[in-house]
Amino acid sequence: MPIRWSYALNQWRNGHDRFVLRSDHETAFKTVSISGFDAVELEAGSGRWEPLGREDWIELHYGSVRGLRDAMSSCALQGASSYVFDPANPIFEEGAFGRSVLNADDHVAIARTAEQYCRLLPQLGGDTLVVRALPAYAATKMTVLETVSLAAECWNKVGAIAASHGVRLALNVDCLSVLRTIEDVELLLEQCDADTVGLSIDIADAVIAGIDPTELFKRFASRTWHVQFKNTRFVDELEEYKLPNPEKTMIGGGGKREIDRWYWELGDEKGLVDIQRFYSALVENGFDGWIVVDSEQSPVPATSTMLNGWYVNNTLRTHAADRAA
Amino acid sequence: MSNIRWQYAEHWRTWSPKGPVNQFSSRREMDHFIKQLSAVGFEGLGMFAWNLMAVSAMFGSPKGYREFIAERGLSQIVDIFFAMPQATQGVAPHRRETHDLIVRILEGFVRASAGTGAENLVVMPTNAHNNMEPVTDEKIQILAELWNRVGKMAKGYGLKLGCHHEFWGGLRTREQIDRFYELTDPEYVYLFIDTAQHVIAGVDPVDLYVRHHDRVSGFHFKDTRHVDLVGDYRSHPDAELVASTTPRWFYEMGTPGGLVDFPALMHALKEYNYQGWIGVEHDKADIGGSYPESTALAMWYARNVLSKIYS
Repeated sequence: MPIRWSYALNQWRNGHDRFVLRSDHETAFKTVSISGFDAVELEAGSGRWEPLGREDWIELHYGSVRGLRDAMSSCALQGASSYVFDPANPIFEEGAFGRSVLNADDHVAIARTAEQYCRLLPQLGGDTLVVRALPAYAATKMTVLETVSLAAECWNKVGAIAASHGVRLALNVDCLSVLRTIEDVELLLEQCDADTVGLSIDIADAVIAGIDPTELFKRFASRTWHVQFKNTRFVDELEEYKLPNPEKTMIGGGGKREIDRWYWELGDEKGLVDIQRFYSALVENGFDGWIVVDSEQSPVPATSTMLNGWYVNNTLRTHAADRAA
Repeated sequence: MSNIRWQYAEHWRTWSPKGPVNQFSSRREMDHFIKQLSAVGFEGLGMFAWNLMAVSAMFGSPKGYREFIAERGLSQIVDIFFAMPQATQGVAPHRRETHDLIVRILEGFVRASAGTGAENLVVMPTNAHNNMEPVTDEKIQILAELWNRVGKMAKGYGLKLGCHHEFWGGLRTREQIDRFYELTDPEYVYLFIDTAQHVIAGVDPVDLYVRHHDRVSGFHFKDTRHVDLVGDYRSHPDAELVASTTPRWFYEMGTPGGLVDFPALMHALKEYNYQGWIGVEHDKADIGGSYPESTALAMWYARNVLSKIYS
């Protein structure tokens, strides 16, 4: 199967009560489509302002899951490539306010929730469930070995469930977790079932964490089932991933350096990610999953979508074709 | 080779940390602007005449600007647009004594556009209606004299002169427009159809195209949700900004409630075998919207709806 291109809608919903109207979804779907992408990546969510975040809310907003799929199709999209699920986020419908893979008592509930998305994805044309592999460093009160062992136990359960639905489970290791090296990631993957649990590489987060994403991919090419494309101008040299609540203090607030934007468009002139090298490695290794591009932290998601579409079509694909020739 | 090529009329303003900026604020903004247009399928660009100086400052010359946009996927500048809405002592198309100066101004812009690849000089052929009323047949004859001169001058440089009729201009009704094209020379003066402007003025752009198809040199495709039923076209100082009925006249193609029948127009273009550029224009799109989103939505509509009718 050739590489497939999708676009994450994360930044289109840049506020808890934003991106609720179906007309807003339509604008995003059409923008993604005309920019050259085939599908969208959705985020799991909860509550009345998350019309795309759960099956029950999809049904309320679109009448049915089929209704959402039809809305995507009418905008010339294949559907949803993937869902992103972070167990730590509140799930009001389930009375859950911060589950953790590092709490064995939460594993059954996490698996039950994940299964909802495994049932949902094929109906939307998707096949990949991306999960936040680990909570942030500050929420990890144990050794790395204990951490990966508990997390693997949970994700192996989820992976088996996902596989039974024809869905691939991809663990996203972000720039905030205790895993800071390729060897750290290997510790986690070694304990996960290679048949049912794969890796999602976010190339910007890898660079922020001080990991070369291409070397990470080369080490785990056969385990990499999903990649996230965005750029960054910064490395976390101050180890601010150790801050409490780094999603806000480091990523949102910019940390001590007051960084306005960690994440940038693929072709950003100050970007640190060697995207062409990473993409070449994907092509050379026959990667057959979704490449999901996103506009995270962009003030104008439509602009970032079009700029990223230009970069994919005029730089990456051209570059790969040149190398093939 | 397709019959239709899409170009973008350069209205643009987007967010920056220092507030709203347009593409002329830096090469980086220009780079992003052009790449966004290229990404969604545009092949050409329409320019305001007065921006020729801005791109010369940024790129050394208009030709340098053309090379810059070509590197990013846009082949050429298609139109050079000029308007003079306010009647002044020196510039008022309905007064003969100002014609020499108007011709000199436009010839200067035409010369300045050398190297851009421009095919059309597009003008608002009158001042604002409220600057020249009443519009009489004698004034229309004077206007025709001027634009025959300008069209002949433009042709000498290889450009077609297209007249673009704003809903708030002096030639706005179907009768006025038809009369103007009766009085002008088909060799020198062409009709440039702006779909929304005509609809607002109560003129059907499809019927207008059918009637004058052999005189049409190009289009601005944009939509509107309003027809001016109360005489807003006479509003001072700018009917596009201070109308009594709506703060926003213009929307992108495909907008809900849009009044322009674009599919019918595309069928007409197909019937008369129109071959050339269609411009997409978003004027004041950031009143309750955004230029990037409008641009993406318009080209989605062009590719997924209109191109299936004629391309």
